[in-house]
Amino acid sequence: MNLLEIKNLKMDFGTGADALRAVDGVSLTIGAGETVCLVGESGCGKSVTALSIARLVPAPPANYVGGEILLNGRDVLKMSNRELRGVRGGVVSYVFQEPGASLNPVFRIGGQIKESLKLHRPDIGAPSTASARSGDPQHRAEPVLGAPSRRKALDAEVIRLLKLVGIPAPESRIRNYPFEMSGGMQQRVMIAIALASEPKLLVADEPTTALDVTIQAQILELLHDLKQRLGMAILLITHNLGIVGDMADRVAVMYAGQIVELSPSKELLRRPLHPYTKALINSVPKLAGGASRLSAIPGNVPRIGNFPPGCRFAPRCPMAKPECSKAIPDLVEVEASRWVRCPFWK
Amino acid sequence: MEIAALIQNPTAEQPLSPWQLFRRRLQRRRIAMAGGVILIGLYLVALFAGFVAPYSYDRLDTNYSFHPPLWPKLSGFHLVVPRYEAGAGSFVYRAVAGDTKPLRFFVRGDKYKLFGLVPATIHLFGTGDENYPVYLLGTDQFGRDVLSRLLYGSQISLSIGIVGILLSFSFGMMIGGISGYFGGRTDTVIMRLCELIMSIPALYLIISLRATFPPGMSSAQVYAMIIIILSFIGWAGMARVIRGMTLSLREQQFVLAARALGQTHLKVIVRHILPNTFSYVIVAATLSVPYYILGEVVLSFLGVGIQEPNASWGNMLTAAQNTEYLRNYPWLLAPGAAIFVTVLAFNFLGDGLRDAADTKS
Repeated sequence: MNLLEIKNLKMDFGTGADALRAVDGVSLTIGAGETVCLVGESGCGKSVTALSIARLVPAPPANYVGGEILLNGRDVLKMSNRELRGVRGGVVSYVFQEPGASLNPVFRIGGQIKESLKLHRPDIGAPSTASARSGDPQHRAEPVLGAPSRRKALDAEVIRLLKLVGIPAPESRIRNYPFEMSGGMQQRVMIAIALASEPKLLVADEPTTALDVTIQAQILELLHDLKQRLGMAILLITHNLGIVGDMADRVAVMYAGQIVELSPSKELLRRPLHPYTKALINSVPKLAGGASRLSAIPGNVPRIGNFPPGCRFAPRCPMAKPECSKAIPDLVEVEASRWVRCPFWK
Repeated sequence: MEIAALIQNPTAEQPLSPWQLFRRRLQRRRIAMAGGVILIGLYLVALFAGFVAPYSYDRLDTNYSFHPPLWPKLSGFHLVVPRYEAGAGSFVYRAVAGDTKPLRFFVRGDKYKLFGLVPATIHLFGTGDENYPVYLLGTDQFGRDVLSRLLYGSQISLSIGIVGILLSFSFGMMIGGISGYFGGRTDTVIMRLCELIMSIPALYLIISLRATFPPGMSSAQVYAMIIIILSFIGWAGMARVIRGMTLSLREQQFVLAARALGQTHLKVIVRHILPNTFSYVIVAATLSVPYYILGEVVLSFLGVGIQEPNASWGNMLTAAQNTEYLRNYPWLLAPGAAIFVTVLAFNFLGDGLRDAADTKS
């Protein structure tokens, strides 16, 4: 059983005649400990898909019309609010794009990490820590709120987490406010909060977009390193193909609410099959290329609700044929574990 | 890792915390600081009213009705209080020459309970002799010491503002937070309710609400009733502002981050959204306290507030509404001066807090 199985997910914004389909038949699986990248331009449904895993898109306006999101075999779309709260943070943790905005500006970072610990690991600092950590509910002791030993245990755990994400001098950093930290440090704190609950899946929604390039590399390296050490799966959302090769086992390319190509990352980068993937790779600036003109994809991602008939990429596709606009092509496995939504991929 | 090197020593150049910045900006505002000091003084005196007051609030001295303010005189190295006796005509007093008593500190006098708990008889000053009274602010028509009543009254008048603010603001913040956070129909219903309450003239609402309470309540009940009535009117304005702030705060990413952590809606509101409104709330609270103090004055002045013989600034002023009294015994207006000073101090402090909380200044 895979950790996450999204099956034919369909989500609208709004209902009835005003419904706009934001996610249209997305299927994606992530195995335990696997890293999957979700790539695509802005507005193609990556973030909504990712937020749907813990049903974090506010509903209404969101309206799930079809499909399943199986997390450890259980459908997130059918869960009660109480179960959802256990999933959020407990099984899936999120790291968002703007670290500065993701931290509450009026609280010290130590307290914000503790919030996650208190929610998901009530056993910390409880008298019978050993048996509680083994997960036996019979022996789980009731935590004594505010007891000094518990506070100390929480502090120690926060410091351990801050060390884990590579924050120097964590003992004093614990008392810092978010605005006293740089963007890279803030993002490390966000990762620490996400890790505090020991999730099985870490969803990182463009975690490095707001950071400059050197910090970007450090954060990605940290994520990679943590994955090795903690064995969690990562769903990394990005529009930067440059980081895909280093990070991902597999890549899903999204366009206009659909997955257009799904493939192991090395092969995708070496030999992209879908015209959109090719265009994306071509539009990454290369330093070695000399004075050649930077190629861009003409036009924009079509607006939600304004998708062209047939293949949604056809209007921007350099190889479009008249039949492309007739019917939406299916996502077909054309080679071993390589899926493409284009009949003319050759 | 150059970053690591930079913050190896994080204490070296620690930026000021928001509180430190706030304190600095506040300290630069002299008038606000003066207002704060006055308020601290007033509240301290109110806390120890029984000790500071030379007499009990209900001690009658019918020989000395409408006695003018009586100040001790300096005689040698002692402050002495002359003995007064009634002269010709009504409420005219004159000092008996040569008959004085030294003013002493920490003298035994009327019984009182410190903080309402500890029985005590020691007063800050007095003569220790009933025939030589010290009426620093004169007496009212029953010969009760105005200063003592003013001090006991301050316990009610000053605390009503704080308790009222606590009640109405916590309620208003919660309601406003819920309204803004959930939006939609919840929001519409709550906001229309607020507008309804705000559209009724406050004074009529106060009086009609007062009518719903039975007559003949004890002073403690009346006190609670006044707070409930004033808070019932006061929460709506607060809820509206907090709702507006919540509308923008709920779109912040840290709210989504808290949801992603598995936090409940209620805790997201209480723990993440409302704390971000505190800088506004503290200022608004300071500026709103006078409203509650004046509300008590209005209710007591109309005779539906704190009942005699208990003292409040409002019901003391009731005694001063007679023009003849005002002309002949102006010291009865002392509670008016106390209200004036308190309200002004709150406004000065509130203005200063607002300027200090405004980071753009």
